[in-house]
Amino acid sequence: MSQIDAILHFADRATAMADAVVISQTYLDGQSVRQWLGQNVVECQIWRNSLDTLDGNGNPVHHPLAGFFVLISLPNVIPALFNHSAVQGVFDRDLINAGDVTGILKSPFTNAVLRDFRVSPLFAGMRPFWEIIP
Amino acid sequence: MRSALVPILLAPPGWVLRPGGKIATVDTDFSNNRAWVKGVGSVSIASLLTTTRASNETSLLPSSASGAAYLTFSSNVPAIVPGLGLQPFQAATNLLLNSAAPITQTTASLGTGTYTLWVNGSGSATSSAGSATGSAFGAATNGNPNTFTLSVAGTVVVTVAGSPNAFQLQAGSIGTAFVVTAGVTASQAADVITPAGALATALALTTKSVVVATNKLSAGALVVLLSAKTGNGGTYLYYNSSTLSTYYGLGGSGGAGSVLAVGAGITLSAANKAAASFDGTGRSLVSNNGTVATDSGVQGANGTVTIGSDAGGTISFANGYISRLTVFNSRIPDAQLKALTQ
Repeated sequence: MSQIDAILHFADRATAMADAVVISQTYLDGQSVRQWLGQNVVECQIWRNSLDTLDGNGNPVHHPLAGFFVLISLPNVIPALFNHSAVQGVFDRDLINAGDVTGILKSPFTNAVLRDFRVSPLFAGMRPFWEIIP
Repeated sequence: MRSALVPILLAPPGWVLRPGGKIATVDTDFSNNRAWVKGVGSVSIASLLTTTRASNETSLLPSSASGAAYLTFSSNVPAIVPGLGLQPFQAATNLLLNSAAPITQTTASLGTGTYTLWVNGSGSATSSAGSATGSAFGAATNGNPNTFTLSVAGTVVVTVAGSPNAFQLQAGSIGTAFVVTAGVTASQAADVITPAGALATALALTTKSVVVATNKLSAGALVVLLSAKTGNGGTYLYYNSSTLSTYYGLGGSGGAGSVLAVGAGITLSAANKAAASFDGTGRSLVSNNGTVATDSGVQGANGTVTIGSDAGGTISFANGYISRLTVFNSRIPDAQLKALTQ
């Protein structure tokens, strides 16, 4: 069974955690603070590779896109998540790892834009989707 | 003929624990990749566990030998290392790029807090302030991580000397399993390990004995071996890093409930054994062949059971190895319980 990796975009963390669908991937800790389920979720940043600049030492400086991004990975397609209006991309990990672009199950972006995106961090074992787009 | 064969087929192999002739109900020997269920026989460890983890996980740890080869486990596959055991690790992100081919680099901007830098192999990786402000920057070598604190967010420079095979920079005060990165950072998701099948059934018993062997655990506030305290009641067996004692709790809603404690001087990074028993009249607890503590606490119903973490797999990860987990369907006498922790 392949992992299904979904990237969602919200205004901020609080909005994401309060979302009616995404809240299922959170829990309340001992201080009643909502936290992500660490087995399925990691917060991430997205930037456009073409917009990188260099600092004074020649190191690339990324310019993360505005808002809050979260990567949610589950072992099957969850329709409510797949069809969520905040979805920026849904990826079948096995297909992506095999270099098969049909593993991009859903995205509102063109291939040219997806190829330019960079996401950090990914889950260990995910091949970057931007590497396989022709 | 058939009835005569059954006892032979179900006779446990010699490695199964049997104090005083009492055969284990379920014996999961993770370090040797073997498991036994009374009345069934030998079974696969996979049939006794469910692991949820959205990422790969490796077996390379800060304590690994220099140049050690390591295994990589796919998502949702229990990370079981031959000779060592089951790895329940918390989530972690390796903030360095190309982590299996270390070169000097400057991180992205990091938030305030504590970070740990560790390496495997010859040579070193040394942290220093980029645009961040912090303290305790320094060199990490194999087996000697560098833990530093950022008081002002910003970048950190990691300078590589020599030829380390791998390096990792992660948030927090301990190093966890190595995360392989390439052009972007990567995260290992948390290991949420729950018992299944006969192991789940055995752990749900209110009269039982449990023996847990561990190795190379990392110090957290609490290092949980087995938790069922989410909700009301349930078994809760853990080490307290502050007191370095073993605790066996009777779970209660919203807290650990009644705690029975024993021992001191446990070295978490070494091999340890803890055992606990319950019946309708009380409970007993012992670790490393020490003094047995007893009281009249009675176990309530289990909540969500997790192995090597607490609260449904959200906190207090063992961050090391559960070598073996054995369950008996009775309260083993204290003297025998003690002997099981030798």
